[in-house]
Amino acid sequence: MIPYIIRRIIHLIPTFIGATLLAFIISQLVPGDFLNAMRLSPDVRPETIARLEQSFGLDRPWYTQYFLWMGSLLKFDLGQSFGGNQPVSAVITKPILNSLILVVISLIMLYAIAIPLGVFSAVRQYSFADQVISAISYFGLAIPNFFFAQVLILCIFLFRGFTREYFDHNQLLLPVAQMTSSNYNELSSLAKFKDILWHALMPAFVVATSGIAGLTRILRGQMIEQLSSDYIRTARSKGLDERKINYKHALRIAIIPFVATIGALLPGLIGGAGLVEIVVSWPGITPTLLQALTAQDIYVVLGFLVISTLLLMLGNLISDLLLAVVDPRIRYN
Amino acid sequence: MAKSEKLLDVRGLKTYFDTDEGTVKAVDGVSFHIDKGETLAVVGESGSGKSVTSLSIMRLIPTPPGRIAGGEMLFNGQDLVKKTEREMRQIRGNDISMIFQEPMTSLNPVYTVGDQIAEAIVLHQGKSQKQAMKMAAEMLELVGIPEPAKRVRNYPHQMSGGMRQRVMIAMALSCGPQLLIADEPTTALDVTIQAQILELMKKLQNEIGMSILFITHDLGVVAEIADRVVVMYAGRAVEEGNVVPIFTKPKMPYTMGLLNSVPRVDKAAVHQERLEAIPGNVPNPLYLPEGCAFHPRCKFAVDQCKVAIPDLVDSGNGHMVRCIRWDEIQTKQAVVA
Repeated sequence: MIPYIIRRIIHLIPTFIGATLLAFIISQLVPGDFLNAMRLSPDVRPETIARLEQSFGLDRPWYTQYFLWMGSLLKFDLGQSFGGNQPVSAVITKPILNSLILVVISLIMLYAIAIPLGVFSAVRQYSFADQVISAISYFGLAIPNFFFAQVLILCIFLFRGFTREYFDHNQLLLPVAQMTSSNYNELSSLAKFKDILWHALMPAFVVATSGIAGLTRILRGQMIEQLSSDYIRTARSKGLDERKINYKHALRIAIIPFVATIGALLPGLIGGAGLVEIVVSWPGITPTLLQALTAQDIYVVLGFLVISTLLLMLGNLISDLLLAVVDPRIRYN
Repeated sequence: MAKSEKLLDVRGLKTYFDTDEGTVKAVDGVSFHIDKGETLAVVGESGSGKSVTSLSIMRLIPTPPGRIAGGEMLFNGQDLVKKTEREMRQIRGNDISMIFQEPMTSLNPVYTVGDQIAEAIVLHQGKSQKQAMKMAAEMLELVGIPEPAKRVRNYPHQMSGGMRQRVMIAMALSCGPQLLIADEPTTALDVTIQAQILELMKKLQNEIGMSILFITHDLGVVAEIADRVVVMYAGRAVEEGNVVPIFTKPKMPYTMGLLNSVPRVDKAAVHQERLEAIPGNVPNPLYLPEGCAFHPRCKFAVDQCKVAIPDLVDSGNGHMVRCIRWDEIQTKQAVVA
């Protein structure tokens, strides 16, 4: 196992170089650069622009810029942000952590909701409840999450209108924007944690919706297939109860393909938090990334890409290792 | 030997499946009994209802679409049809256990064989996991698996088909059942392994003293292991009796056909005979022929066979046969010989 892991990590190096090169080339395909706006402004003198070009390295050919950037990457330095005149790492760390909060909570929701639903649907195949779950699943798959977020915000406000009218209760059920309350800085650390969690509930659920819907559907299919297999008949003939048969025997195997995709969810869900972050003003990756893209602050964009690439590669490795843990038929040598 | 005590008495069992096209009477009024310590073979082609019979005894018929529509199954005098699911769970794997045709897929691939054997022991005998694992190793030794202490930690895919069937037997016998139902346990195995598994089952039956209900389509296996035989056709028993009379003097034309379709070293060498196949196929269970279900394929069929389903009658010494012409045919056969 250990030699396998080492070999896999060594294989990651060329993958990483290829991915970063490709990302860098694509970033250069966009016409113009960060200084466009300044060049057009009559207030900025050409000497200033030349000085800035030199200090940002924009006057050199793209491949020189690439090697300089790669050189600094080897020193774990993601480069400088043009806009804030600070290191890229300082710009992107906080948004990444903020997005991660959202992603982790939505991942927990994803599995906590989808697994029982999928098993239930499979066990009660074609029952009324199964059909209701199927219908809601298709709805969840079909609705874009930025729109679903707005629908939920509307619902939360409508609910407040209802409680104000009949119960004289003027509080929102859940916060609909931002990551923290206005009095956040005065809170104790436990209360701060709770505050963020409270704010994350709605957007995290929105981010998880399509995943829940998809996983429920696929898990249902997997479970139905497993429940009709011979080893389930053996388990029944042993006298096991249905709960043990469903969860210990069938689910244990039905879940294997999902374990294989857990790693791929890691970078995917950060991207997936996407537009929801903008709808609820969550200070995550997407707003920062969009801002950097419009300003052509390329090293910030590349910084996010590098982190995503690393997460993707790490996620795939973790997936493969987990697969060997859950499926004894797979052994790596 | 006091062999007359009935362990299982199945009376008029009917297991039906409700499908979109109509009700399939997979088992339609089957009666037989198994004495303590006895081996009963149920023989028939695919679709004759023999596997459904065995699953009915375990009450493992998927419902819906299947259901037990009638009859009783007295196990130690208690009717299994009337048991609740909870009561059945205490019987399954404990008093009655079962092994299946496909050893390759009948074990869960992600648990060790030890875990899977221990599961039943923990469930029925209330042992701790550790004790159960020790007993599982003992069971593996009993079924002739070398290095049992090491093998308990193996996964099914690390074993051959014959080994896995031994594991299934170990699992089935782990709680000392009174009845072992074996549903074509040797069909998927190589011939040499088949013989080993049959030997093993006979040996264990002598040691443990259980009864065996052996489901098969393989008459060679029946001769090897059974005390008595029930021949099934289209959901009904058509002939029943001790193994020697059934093999030497079959009375139902279907049984004769089955026996003639088995290659025999002695016969072929002496008479250079061709193997005789039974013409036609098993009838569609939705559209069974009128009268005797076998008449379209029977070379002795007369018009009267199409009128009514013949009764299962005693032709002497408890040799039961479901054919209106058994007496005539027997005389005719005797003349030919």
